[in-house]
Amino acid sequence: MRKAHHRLLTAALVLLAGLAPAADKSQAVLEAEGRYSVIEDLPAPPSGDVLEVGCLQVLPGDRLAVGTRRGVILIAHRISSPDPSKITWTVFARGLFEPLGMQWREAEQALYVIQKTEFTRVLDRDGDGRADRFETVTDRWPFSGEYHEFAFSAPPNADGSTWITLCLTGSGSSPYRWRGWGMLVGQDGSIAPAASGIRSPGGMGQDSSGAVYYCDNQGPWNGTSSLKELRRGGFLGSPTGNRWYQDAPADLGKRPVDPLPNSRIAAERKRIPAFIPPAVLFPHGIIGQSPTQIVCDRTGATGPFKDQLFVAEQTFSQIQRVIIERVNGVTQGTVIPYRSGFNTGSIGLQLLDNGMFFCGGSNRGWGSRGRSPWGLQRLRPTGGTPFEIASVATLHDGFRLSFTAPVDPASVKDPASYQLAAWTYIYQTTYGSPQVDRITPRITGIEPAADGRSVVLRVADRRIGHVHELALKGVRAADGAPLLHPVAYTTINEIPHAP
Amino acid sequence: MKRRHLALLFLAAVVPAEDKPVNPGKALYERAGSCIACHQANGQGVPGAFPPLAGSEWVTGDAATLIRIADHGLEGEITVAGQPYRGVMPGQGTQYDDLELAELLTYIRKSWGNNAKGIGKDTVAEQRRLDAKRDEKPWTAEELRPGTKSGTLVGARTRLFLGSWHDLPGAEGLKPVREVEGVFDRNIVPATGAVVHTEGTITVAKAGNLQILLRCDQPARISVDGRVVLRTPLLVGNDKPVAVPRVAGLPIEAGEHRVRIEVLVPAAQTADLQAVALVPGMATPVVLAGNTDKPLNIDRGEDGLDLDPAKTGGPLLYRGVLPAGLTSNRSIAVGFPEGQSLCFDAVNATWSMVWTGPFFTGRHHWSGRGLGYREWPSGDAIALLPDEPPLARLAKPTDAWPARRDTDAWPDDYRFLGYDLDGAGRPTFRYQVGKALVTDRPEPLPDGLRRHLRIEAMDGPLTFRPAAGRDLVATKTGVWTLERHLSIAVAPGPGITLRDRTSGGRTEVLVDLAPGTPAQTCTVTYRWEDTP
Repeated sequence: MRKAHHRLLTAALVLLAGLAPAADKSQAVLEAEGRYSVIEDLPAPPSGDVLEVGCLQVLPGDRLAVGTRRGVILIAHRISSPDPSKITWTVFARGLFEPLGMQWREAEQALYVIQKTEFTRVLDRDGDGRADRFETVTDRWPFSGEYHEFAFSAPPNADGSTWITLCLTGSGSSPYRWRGWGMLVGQDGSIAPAASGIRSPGGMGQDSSGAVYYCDNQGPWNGTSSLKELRRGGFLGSPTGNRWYQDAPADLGKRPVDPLPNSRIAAERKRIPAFIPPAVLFPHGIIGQSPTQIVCDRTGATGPFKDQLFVAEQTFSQIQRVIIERVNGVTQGTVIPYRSGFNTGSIGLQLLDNGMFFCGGSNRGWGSRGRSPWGLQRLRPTGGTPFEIASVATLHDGFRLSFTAPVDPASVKDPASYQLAAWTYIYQTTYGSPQVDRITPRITGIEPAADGRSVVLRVADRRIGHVHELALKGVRAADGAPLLHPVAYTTINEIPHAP
Repeated sequence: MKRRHLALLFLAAVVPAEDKPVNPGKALYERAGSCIACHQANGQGVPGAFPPLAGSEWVTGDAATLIRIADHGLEGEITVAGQPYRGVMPGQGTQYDDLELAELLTYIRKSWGNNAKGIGKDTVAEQRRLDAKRDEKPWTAEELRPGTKSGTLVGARTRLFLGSWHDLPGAEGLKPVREVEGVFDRNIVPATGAVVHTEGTITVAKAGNLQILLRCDQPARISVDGRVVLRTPLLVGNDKPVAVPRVAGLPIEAGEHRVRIEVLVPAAQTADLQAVALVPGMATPVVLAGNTDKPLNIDRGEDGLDLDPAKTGGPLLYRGVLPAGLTSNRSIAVGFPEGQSLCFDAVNATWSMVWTGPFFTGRHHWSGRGLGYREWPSGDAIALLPDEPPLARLAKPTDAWPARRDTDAWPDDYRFLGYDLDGAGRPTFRYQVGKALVTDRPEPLPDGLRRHLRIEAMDGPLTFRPAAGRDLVATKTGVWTLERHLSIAVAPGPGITLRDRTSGGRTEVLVDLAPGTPAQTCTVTYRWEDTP
């Protein structure tokens, strides 16, 4: 079995070797990643259901709820079995409308599901393993039937309310109220608009502090895809839905002024007080193209990455890692690739306490590197911690980087180990943006820390609103190993004041 | 005049450098929701996901092919610059006028190292004229291969039969009054109405999957080797003829196969009949009826996505986008293994359709981006019921019934609460009208459906309207028939009487319900009669 797998892999390598250099590079990364974790296929559900995964939710009892774009919710059992072929399936519910987010509420023994048309509380009252009650929590948002009118939900807030995000109609217009808005759904079923500026969400999530995020896709007003934090009263950047401020609660404030053409987010933040800048820009075509579901490692399941976020990426069929920081009350952070090589466009993501990820999706309607039209796979750590950038913190005059293993001091002290660059994107109605305003930040000092696993880089010429590419290609671990992912992309929205 | 000059000068002074006039084709390429989203600013696409335009033989090759792809999109397998891709590119044609499309395509033919001849707006206009009948259906790479045009039904002969029928008769005993070569042409049908048969042969080079596409606003059916494979549904309750698109896929052996297309054209009416066969191993569609120059353009979607409650052994629910105007965008279709189905409209809390025969298909909804499709039920006979809310507070007995709502509005006081499934998986819908709690439970019968309505906690009088229609005829006490084919029997709880009235050109059956008793009930029984 194993051997056959290797032969297949070799065949794939031979095939890939014929492709463009970019493919070579991603193949080398994939091989290196494969030394620490393995991507495993799961048995097919005996019901024959197609696993066009739209959302995933871990359930108690070593189970996983799998929501498909065809409206079926299946339950995978014994999901942490060392041998994935021991995973079994049951069908929980059918007949839903493209669910793209689920919550498990233990106290209620209820699965909450967002559908295209409503937010629904699903119960199995007789305990036979099949849903038997579907309660419409709310359906009070317009739906015209247009393909892009997706709805996503985040995990519940502490008060039982839920953030949901409503994609623009056709991903570019807001002909009805609340298309392009974040809404808050109360525990009582009330629903109220809470934040404008959304374009085309790909997934949602929450960090260990309870802050709620969603990913917004490259397009008009999004020069590149990004992770954005939702706050009530905030404006997330796309003015397309702003016409509905006229019907929003008064305390959300007046409709923000329209952005100037061909502007920059950093400039428009000064004109639009409600503007929440993207927390983390995901450079288009470099890190990915379509970020989706967000999960947080609240327990340290991934080892050194406790409290960090993991974000599925549809087009590149991979998982990214995100480090969040808050500076002057504004959220920003760093994105680093985590694991590539999934077999389809990754949409749903979950992390188990044992460090396993479940990642699944589909590439229907939006292409992906993974060639399968749909699928669900498990990522199982196989031991060992890769040498990685563990954290990045923005300082008033540089960055503090820590690593997952002791470093080779000579390589860390060598300025040639680092290449820095920074750029931003045009904030405009046009689809996406080229990289613009490129600068080269200069390293003015390198200060390895006494702990042997972190370093402070003193850096001149950084810029607010830019994504800063920190390439650490020369940095080595004490044992000589290079970084598994040597490039980090840090968005700076704010620079801390000098201590 | 002077003023305009001043304004121009002023504009020139404030327009920032990035706003300087650019190649108009480039601007269109980079416009929101446009090519750049997938094919990227550098025309390189996304490896493995979206094909490149730079170095693409499809871009620099035949101008007509490129115009067709831009206008109607492309789906399925395609090889670009030696790499295979599979996906759906939606048609972009509606975004651009002839000049804009010419500029856009010229830009991509001359950028990123491409160096092909530009395309003029007259070329675009001419190609669009040729493709005028092709709706929204994306092309396949196979169709666009040079030198292909629509295939013909070999030896096709069309026969005309005169008579008076409600539905398509069997072929036995029919004597043709006229016979012509070729496929159905509406001009051969006299005003007195007729049945028309076309027969011919298709040759299947290798065994595979045969797909037949049919659209007709009159009763029609298609048989292959004597077996009916596709028919238009019997529609009840429609105000005017509707052409319901139908698609079937079936395995077929290599060799010659006889195909027959039958249509009934009632007196003083016409038939809009179009049908094609997509034959395995044949690059072009075979026209079975309609215009041979511009074959019928229905999205095929994917075979194998039909929903069959008999196969899953229990009732199936389906949520998707059903035809506009017949039910709301929040509709829940329910199919019973007994072959009876209904559509519950969750905005108006009513039964907007009932049907008998096959349940539903996901063939379009679950292909690509849903193909912009609003799917009809798959049934053999479909009744379109009034889709206004079922319960109302009528201040005066003559007040008009409240209107239906959709998309961004709900009927006053209505709130959809969801549904329960019983041990057999049968749903009971729950909703609220003011303070009144309503349960609405469908029960399958061998020849129809029974609707069990129960209303609790009423805080005022409500009127229930179990049936309404233009051709709704009382046949006996408590029973009405809709267009001969659907009988509707209304049985309210003890002591409650029925009344009917004419309102807005329709007959309405009304049940006045008073608060006081713990619960009010009413059952409505739908039975299909005289269906094909």
